[in-house]
Amino acid sequence: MFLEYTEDEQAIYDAFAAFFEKECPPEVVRSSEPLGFSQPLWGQLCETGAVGMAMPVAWGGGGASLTELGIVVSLVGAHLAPVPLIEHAVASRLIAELRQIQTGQTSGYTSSQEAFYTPAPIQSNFSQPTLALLESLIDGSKIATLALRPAKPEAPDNSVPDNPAAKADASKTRADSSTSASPAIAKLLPSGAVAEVFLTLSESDNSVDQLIATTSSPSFASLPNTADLPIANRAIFSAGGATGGTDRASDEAFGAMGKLEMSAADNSQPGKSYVLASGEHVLSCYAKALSEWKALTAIALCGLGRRALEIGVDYALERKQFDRPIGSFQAVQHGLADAAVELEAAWYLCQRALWMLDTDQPQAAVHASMSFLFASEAAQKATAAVLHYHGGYGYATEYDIGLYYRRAKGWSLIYDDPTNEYQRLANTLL
Amino acid sequence: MNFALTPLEENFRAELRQFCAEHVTPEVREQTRSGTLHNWELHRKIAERGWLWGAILSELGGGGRSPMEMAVFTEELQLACAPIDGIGNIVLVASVILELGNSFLKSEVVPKLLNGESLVSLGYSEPEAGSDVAACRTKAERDGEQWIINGQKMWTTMAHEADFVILLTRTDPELPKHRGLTMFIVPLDAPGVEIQPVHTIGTERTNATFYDNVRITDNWRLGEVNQGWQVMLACLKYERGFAGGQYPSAPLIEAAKQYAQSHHNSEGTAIIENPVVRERLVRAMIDLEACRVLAYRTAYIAAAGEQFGVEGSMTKLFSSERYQQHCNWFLDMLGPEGLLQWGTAGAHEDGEIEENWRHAPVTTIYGGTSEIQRNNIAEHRLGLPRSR
Ligand SMILES: Cc1cc2nc3c(=O)[nH]c(=O)nc-3n(C[C@H](O)[C@H](O)[C@H](O)COP(=O)(O)OP(=O)(O)OC[C@H]3O[C@@H](n4cnc5c(N)ncnc54)[C@H](O)[C@@H]3O)c2cc1C
Repeated sequence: MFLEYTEDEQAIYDAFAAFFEKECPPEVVRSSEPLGFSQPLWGQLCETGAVGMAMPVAWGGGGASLTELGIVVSLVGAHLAPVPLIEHAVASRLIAELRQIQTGQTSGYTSSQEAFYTPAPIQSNFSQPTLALLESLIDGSKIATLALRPAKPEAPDNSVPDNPAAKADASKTRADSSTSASPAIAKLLPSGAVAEVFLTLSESDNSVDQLIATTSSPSFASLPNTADLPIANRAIFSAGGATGGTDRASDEAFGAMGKLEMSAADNSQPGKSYVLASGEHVLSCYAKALSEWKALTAIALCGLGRRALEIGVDYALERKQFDRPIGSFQAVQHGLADAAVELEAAWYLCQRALWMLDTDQPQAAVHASMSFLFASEAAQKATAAVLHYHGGYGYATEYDIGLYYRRAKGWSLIYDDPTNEYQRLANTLL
Repeated sequence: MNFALTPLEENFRAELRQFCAEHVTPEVREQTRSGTLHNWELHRKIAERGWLWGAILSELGGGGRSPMEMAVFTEELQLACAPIDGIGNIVLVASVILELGNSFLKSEVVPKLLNGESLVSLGYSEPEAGSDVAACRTKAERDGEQWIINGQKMWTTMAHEADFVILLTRTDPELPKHRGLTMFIVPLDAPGVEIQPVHTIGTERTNATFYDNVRITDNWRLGEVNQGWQVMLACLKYERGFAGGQYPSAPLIEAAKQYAQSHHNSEGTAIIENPVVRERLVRAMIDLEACRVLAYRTAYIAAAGEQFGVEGSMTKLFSSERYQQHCNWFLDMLGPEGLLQWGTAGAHEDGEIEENWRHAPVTTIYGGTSEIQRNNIAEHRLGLPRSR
C-alpha cells in the first residue's frame, strides 16, 4: 500500500493547486454564476493539458490514471472551479473506449508515467473525422458530457418546459423527424448548458443498448438551480445516419461531431443525433463511465468538503465572542472534528474506488457508488456545520461558505435521490 | 496512491483466515459469553505461531511484522470474532518494557507474555481519574530497595486472568500533575493485591483492583522515577491498532443480514425486502469500508514511523460511533423479539444482535471517550486551541 501521493502525483497536485489558487479565486466562481461556467478558466485549464490528461496516449491524450485525474478534480472541488472537467473527461473516455472496441484497437488506457503535458504521436488507423473529434475533445475545444440516466420521450406539448434553446431544438426535431415519435429529452443534463456533444443511452423498443451521441449548440443558459450548475434540458434528435455501430457509419457520426463548430446558441444550426454504438458492450462501457463519474464527483466533493472545513477552522480562530475565539468552544471544536473524520474516511474511500477503477477490480463499481454516497454526505455535513459555525454571516451571500454549501448539495443530488442509489447498491450487495 | 497488499501481506491474510476457520470455533466464541474476552487455548495457539513475537518491532528485538501486516492480523482476528483484547495488552506492555524497561523486566516478564504463558492488564484508570488519567492518586512510596503501593484502580480488565498489571502511580504529590508519576509492573499475586469483579451491561467482566501495602522491589519499576507520563505516552504509541477495534460492526452486519434473509414480517414479506432495512444494511457496509480505509491509513502512518495519534483517534471515534448506530438499527429490525437474550427460546441469531447492542455503549467510552478523541482531533489535526 502507498496511501499518499507519489512524487509524480504530488507534482500534479502542486502544479494544479497553484493554478487554481491563481486562476480561480472565489470572485471567478461568483462571476460565473448563475451559469456555473467560466469560458476563460476552461480555456486556461485546456492549455494545461488537464482536459485530455486521462485520454489514451495512443490517441494523443495524456494517458493519466483516474487517480491522477482525481487530483485535479479534487482541486476543482476545493476551488468550486466552474469548469465541466468531470463530465467532459468521462464522456471523452467513453467515446474513446467505444471507438477502441469498434476498431479493435489495443487498450490505450495504461496508467503511464509519461507526463500528460507532452502529447505522444498518434498511432492509430482512425479515419480523419474520428481523429478530428478526439483531438478537439483532448484539447477541450469541444466540450462533451453524458446523461446520468436514459432519456425519455416526452409528450410534445410539455416537451421542454424550461430551456428556450432546447425548445427550439426540439421543435426542429419534430419537424425534421421522419417518424412521428416524440423527441427524447435529456433532462437536467449535467454541464448540458455548455456541452456541444452529449451522450445518452437510448430507451427504445425496450432495449437500452444504444448509445446516442447528440451534437447541438449549447444554450449557455442553465436552468436556474440551487447550486448554479450549468444544467440544461437537451433534445435528442431522431437518430439518423448510423445504426449498428459499423465502422463506416460511426465515422459518419464522428465526422458530424467533429465538424460542428462551437457557437453560442445558434438556432439556425440544428443538432443531430447518431447511434454511436450499440450492442451489449455499450451497457458495460456506459456503466463504467457512470462509475467513473461517481468516483470523480466523489473526490470533487471531498476536495470541496476539505476546503470548507479549512474555511471553518480559519473562521473559528478569527471570530471572537465572549472574549475568546469561537474555536475554543468545545461544542464548535467537536462539530468540526466530526466533519474532519467523515471527510478523512471519504477521502480514502474515494482514493480506493479510483484505484479499483484504474486497476479494473471487480468490485470497482460498488466502491465507486459507495464512495459517492459517503462523500456526498460528508461534504454536505461539513458544509452545513461550517455554515452554522459562521453564525448569521454564514447565511449572507457575501461569505464563501454559502457557495460551498449549495454545491455540496448540487453535485450530490444532480445524480439522483440517494435513497435510490442505496437501493441499487442493495440489489447488488444483498 | 495504491491500496494493493504485498504478496507477503496477502499470504499472511490467507494464513490467518485458515487459522481462524480452524481455531476460532463456535465454542471459543461461546466462551467469551462468560464475560472474559479471552480464551487461553486460542491465545496459546496464536503464541505458538510466533505471532505475538511477530507483533513486536524488530528494533525492539521482536519479529518485526510491518504495521500493514499487523493491520491485516487485527482485521482478520476481529472479522472472525476472536477475543483479542489480551493480545493488545501484551503487545503494548512487552513493547514498552523492551523500549524502556530494565533487564530484569525484559527477562522476567517479556518472555512470559510473548510465549503465551501470561496476560497483563492495564492499570491506568482510577475511581477519580478516568479521562484525566494523569490525576492518578495510587501512591508508590520508596522504602529502601522496595516500593510500597497503596491505592485503587478501576476497570482493570482481565486482571483476574492476568499475572501482571502495568500500574500508573503517583510518586511525588508535590510535583505538577504529569511530573510526579511513575510506572510499575506489579505481579498480581503479590500480597496486598485484591481483585474484585465489576459486572457490566455488556456481560463482560472487568475489575476493581486494590493495592494495600503491596511491596515490590525496585526491579519492577518501568522507566525512570517521576517519568511515568513518558511511559504512558510510549504505551499509546504501541497500541498498534488494537485499542477499541476497528471492525465491531462486521459480525453484527452478518447477523443482521442473516436474520433479514430468513425471516418475514406479519404480512409475509421477507424482512430483506424492506427498503429501510436494505438501505441500513448498505449504509453499515459502507461504514465498514470506511473503517477499513481508516485502519489502513493508521497502519500506513505507523509504518512510516510517524505519530499516528490523530489517525488512531479518527478510526476509533468513527468505528465506535457508527457501531452504536448500527446496533440500534439492527436491534430495532428484530422487533420485540430483539429483546430476547441468547439461550432464550425465540432469540434471533443466537442473541448476537442483542449482545452487540449491550456491548456498544462501552466502545465510545474505553480507550479514550469520544469527547477525548474529538479534543485530540480538534487540537492536533485542526489546530484549534486546547479546550480542557
Ligand atoms: C468495560 C471497561 C473496560 C475498561 N478497561 C480498562 C482497562 O483495562 N484499563 C484501564 O486503565 N482503564 C480501563 N477502562 C477505563 C476507561 O478507559 C475509562 O472509563 C475512560 O477513560 C473514561 O473515564 P471515566 O470512566 O472515568 O469517565 P470520565 O472521565 O469521568 O468521563 C465522564 C464523561 O465526561 C466526559 N469528559 C471527560 N473529560 C472531558 C473533556 N475534557 N472534554 C469533554 N468531555 C469530557 C467523558 O467523555 C464522559 O462522557 C475501562 C472502562 C470500561 C467501561
